Amino acid sequence: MLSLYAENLLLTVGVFIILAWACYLPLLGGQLFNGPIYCAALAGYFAAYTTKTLGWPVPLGFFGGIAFAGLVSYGLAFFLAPLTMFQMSVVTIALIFIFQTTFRNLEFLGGVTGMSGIPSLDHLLPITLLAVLVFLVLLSRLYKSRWGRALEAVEVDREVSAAMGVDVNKMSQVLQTVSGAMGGLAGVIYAFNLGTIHPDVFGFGQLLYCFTIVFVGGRFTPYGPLLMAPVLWLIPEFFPSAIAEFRNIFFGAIIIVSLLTMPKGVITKRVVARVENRLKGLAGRRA
Amino acid sequence: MEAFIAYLEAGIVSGSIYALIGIGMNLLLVVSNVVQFAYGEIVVLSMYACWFAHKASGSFSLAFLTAVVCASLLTLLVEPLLRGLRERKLLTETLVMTIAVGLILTDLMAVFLNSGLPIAFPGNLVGGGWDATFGLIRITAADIYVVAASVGLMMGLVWFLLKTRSGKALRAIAHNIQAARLLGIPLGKGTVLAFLLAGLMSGVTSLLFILTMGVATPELGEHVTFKGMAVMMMGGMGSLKGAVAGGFLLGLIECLVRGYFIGDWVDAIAMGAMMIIIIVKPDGMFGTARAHG
Repeated sequence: MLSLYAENLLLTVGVFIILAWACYLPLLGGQLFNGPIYCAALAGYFAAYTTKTLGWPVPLGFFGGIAFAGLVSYGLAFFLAPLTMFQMSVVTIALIFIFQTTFRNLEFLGGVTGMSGIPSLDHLLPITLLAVLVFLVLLSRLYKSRWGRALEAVEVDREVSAAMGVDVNKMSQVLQTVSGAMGGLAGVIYAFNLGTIHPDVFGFGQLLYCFTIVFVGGRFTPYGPLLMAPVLWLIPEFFPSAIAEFRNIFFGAIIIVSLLTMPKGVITKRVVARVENRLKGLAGRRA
Repeated sequence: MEAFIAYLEAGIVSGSIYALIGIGMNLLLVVSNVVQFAYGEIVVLSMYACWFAHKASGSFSLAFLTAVVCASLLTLLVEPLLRGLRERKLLTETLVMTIAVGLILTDLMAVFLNSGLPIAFPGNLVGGGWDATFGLIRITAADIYVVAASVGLMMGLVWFLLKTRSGKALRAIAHNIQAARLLGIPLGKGTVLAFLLAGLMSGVTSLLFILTMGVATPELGEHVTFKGMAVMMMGGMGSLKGAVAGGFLLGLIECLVRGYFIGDWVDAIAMGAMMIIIIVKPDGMFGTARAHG
């Protein structure tokens, strides 16, 4: 049986693995889409409001939050899909701002203090671990699939890919919707785990964590977040409390050093191929 | 009507500052293909430098000089961090790098400077010393200094870009980097010059914020950066005249919203306006077809 502290830590790591994957997915198609952050907030607030204020059953609030975030992301994707990488990045950061301001100003969502006393969901840890496992399998398959290669082509050259018959806008819409729903999942897990949510929870700090996890872990394979999320969340646990306030400086410095020395991150495609070859060799030797 | 004119006046003053931010950020974009997400943080850190210099020396001119030097040096220091990524055309990574620099600067200010508490500049500095009131309309000396400094700096930049050899080189790099390379224009020097100019502009911007607001917090940097981003997107990424138009438009929208709406909706409505412009015209009001990223 895990202690409450260990369970919380595992859930937080799970939330950030899912959030990082939600950021990683659109990056495959060359889009710096920061939507998972505001989608997490939207889903968290939706789940909190429906279960606490409206009295919905907790599982309904859980899935409703994910669906709501996915729907909002789908709706916005119609406008965001044609944007370039820079435009997408700026507009989605602006949306983080807009949603934060909206939450701060809506009294029925608790205003600046947010909502607390959100009912808890049973078996949250197994659900989170299962979600991480399912996403790992799906993203690993996508990484090696025809779709994955099409995404890579769009990332390299959007115009050429469109000329070769890839429906770039539709692809972008699908990526944003799935990414938004994944962000939503992270948001509801967060809300049901801590029992509280406030406007500043999903902001630029969280964006920095996600960037650190994705870019330091390696943005070209899905395995980076699986390594970096636990590492980045566990390292500060060993910090003396006096230097805990330097956490963001530490994360920022890690990004800078990593981009300067390993721009493609720790787990690159070459590393994955090498590990796969070694595993195949081991399997062959056993056979 | 009087209130409307008062809001317009306030909008023009804040629009002048936003236009300067947009110009500085656009300059970096067109010359070095960098969207500088740490721009606002550098502006705010320069305000802190000014505050400390004034506290130590008691001299406003030395404090102002310190702010401009600090902004220029910090902006120049970011350039080598981005050089390798730019040369490898890793544009997403350059963006993330500047976001990381910005967040580090914010946290350094929050942890080390004035114990993370807001700083306030002396009352005789804020507002510029005198004001004239016509009913609801109040014009301060700082308002006039801000508009004059912004317009002067913009005209100076236009003169520099059109009339000087270095300015023409910068325009050539912005227009066609390959052709500029073939013509023997030193790209490295051009990029450093663009960073220096953007640094000077951020230094002057910090002074204008001191004159008009008189207070600074570490979190202000994020807001300044996003005002700059909104200006770039509204006016058109990479367009200097777009930055001027976008800056004034954003300033006017903000002041009208602040005047006519109850609650703290300014940022949401200003960002919403930016989004509407992008949705209707993805390249912004004066944007060219040249796609960045």
